[in-house]
Amino acid sequence: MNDMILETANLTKTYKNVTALNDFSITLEKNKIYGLLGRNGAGKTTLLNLLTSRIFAHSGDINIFGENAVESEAALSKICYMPEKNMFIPKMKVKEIIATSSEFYENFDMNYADKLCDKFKLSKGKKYHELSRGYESILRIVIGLASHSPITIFDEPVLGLDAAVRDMFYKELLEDFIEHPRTIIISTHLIEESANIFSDIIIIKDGKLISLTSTEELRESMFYCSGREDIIDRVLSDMNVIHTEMVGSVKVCVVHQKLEASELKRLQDENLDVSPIPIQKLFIYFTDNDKEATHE
Amino acid sequence: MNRLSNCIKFETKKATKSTLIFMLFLLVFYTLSIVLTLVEHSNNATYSSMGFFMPFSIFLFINVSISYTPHYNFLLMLGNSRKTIMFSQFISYFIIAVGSVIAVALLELISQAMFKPMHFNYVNLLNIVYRTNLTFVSTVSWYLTLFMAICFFSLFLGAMRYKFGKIFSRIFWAAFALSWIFIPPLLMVSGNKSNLLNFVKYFFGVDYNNGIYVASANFLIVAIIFGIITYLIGIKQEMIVSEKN
Repeated sequence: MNDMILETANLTKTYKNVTALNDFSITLEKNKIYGLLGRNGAGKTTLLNLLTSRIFAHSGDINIFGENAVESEAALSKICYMPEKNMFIPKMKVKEIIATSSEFYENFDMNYADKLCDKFKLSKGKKYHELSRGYESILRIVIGLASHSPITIFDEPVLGLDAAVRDMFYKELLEDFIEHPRTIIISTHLIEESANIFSDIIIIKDGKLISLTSTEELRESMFYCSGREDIIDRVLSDMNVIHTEMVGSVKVCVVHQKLEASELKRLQDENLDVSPIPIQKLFIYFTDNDKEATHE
Repeated sequence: MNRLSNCIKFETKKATKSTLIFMLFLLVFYTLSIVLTLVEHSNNATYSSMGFFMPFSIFLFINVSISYTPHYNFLLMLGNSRKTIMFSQFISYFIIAVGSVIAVALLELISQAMFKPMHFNYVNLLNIVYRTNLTFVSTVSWYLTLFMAICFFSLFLGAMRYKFGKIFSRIFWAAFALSWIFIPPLLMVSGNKSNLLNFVKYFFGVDYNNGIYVASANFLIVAIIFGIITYLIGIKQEMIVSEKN
């Protein structure tokens, strides 16, 4: 528990009649890359805005480095949050935005920021409002990475970026993380391509925490099992099946439990196919409105 | 402290840039007016000591108000607390008010240097309004407190617009336009017995002993009141981001 860097307790936020975040408690640790996943309107951005005091909770506590983080300059100065929505001044030039940002983050590495601008071909002489959607995202990436803040948060960092640039970002993030370990939170909808960089995954649904676990544990928490319908029904009767579908004459089930070696052997002996579930599919099963799959 | 000074640096740097551009614009405009006067060969041209004051006040009023939202959001994004942002704005706009006094004084000196050799008539409007011998201190305090009042009132408008959106702007400007229709007749209707007229005279220190100081004190009170209200709004304000920002 010594590695705890950020903690929320019973955080609740409502907008008029809508509860965006409901009794939300979470503990994040040092030097990990967290993926923050949830469907549209699940409460991801609300959570990030609360962590950084951009908005206020109706109840609950937020602690960063052990102290109350609400409007605390000491806590806020340790967080670099690059939001999805535009908060830059449209008429400011890119180089001016980067230079101003560097004054507010004590670990900001200006040389690294310049290197990133060159690497991502971001023109520093352009004004912010002249940038395309993709380059707006790149500017956020440059500031977020170069800040080297103990807690760095990206909300949808790869919006508008092509596949090659997205790949560059993931590689750059990992390289920089190895050199400058810190806690990074990435909220994204592009789950499959970013899943490999996450050490842990947070899943939110309807303002509630559904799962916070390591990516490996999450992968192991569900599996596909397919085969003849009569065999499937018999063999899986004592297992936690959360989804079934027929593909031709084959019945495919999603089983929500860790598969032990002995059980795997039993399933294979029954001529059933067992395969891992891609993280994106896993996320869909977790957040499926008709099913309730929770992971402790 | 470091963050506060960084915020002040950011605010004053942005304001200085736009102020210098506006000063340049005013100088060009005044140079053109001199050229036009010379072309007409007018020997009876009059210039006043407050020629730069009105455009500068309007500039300050608009510039401070429209800067509120983008600056507030930008500084909030960079991890500053609301308290730091609000204090930095107050200190910055005090510095900007001082800078504006210097800017207006410089423009006055430049214009005097340009007009005097041409033997144009010189009128000091503050002298006429307050019927007193102006001192350096009284003139500076009048300009400084007035610019502060304008800055802090404009800051208040910016904070209200941030909180309530465009609907506030529409209501404010509609009320402002209507006031020009209704207030002048109200001032006239009762002559010297009008409470409103008396209040306006008191506020601007007209017909008072040391009226220029009365006006300065009133401007300062207005600045402080709107400063406090703006602080109370800003300190509890949740971030609002429009697509356009």
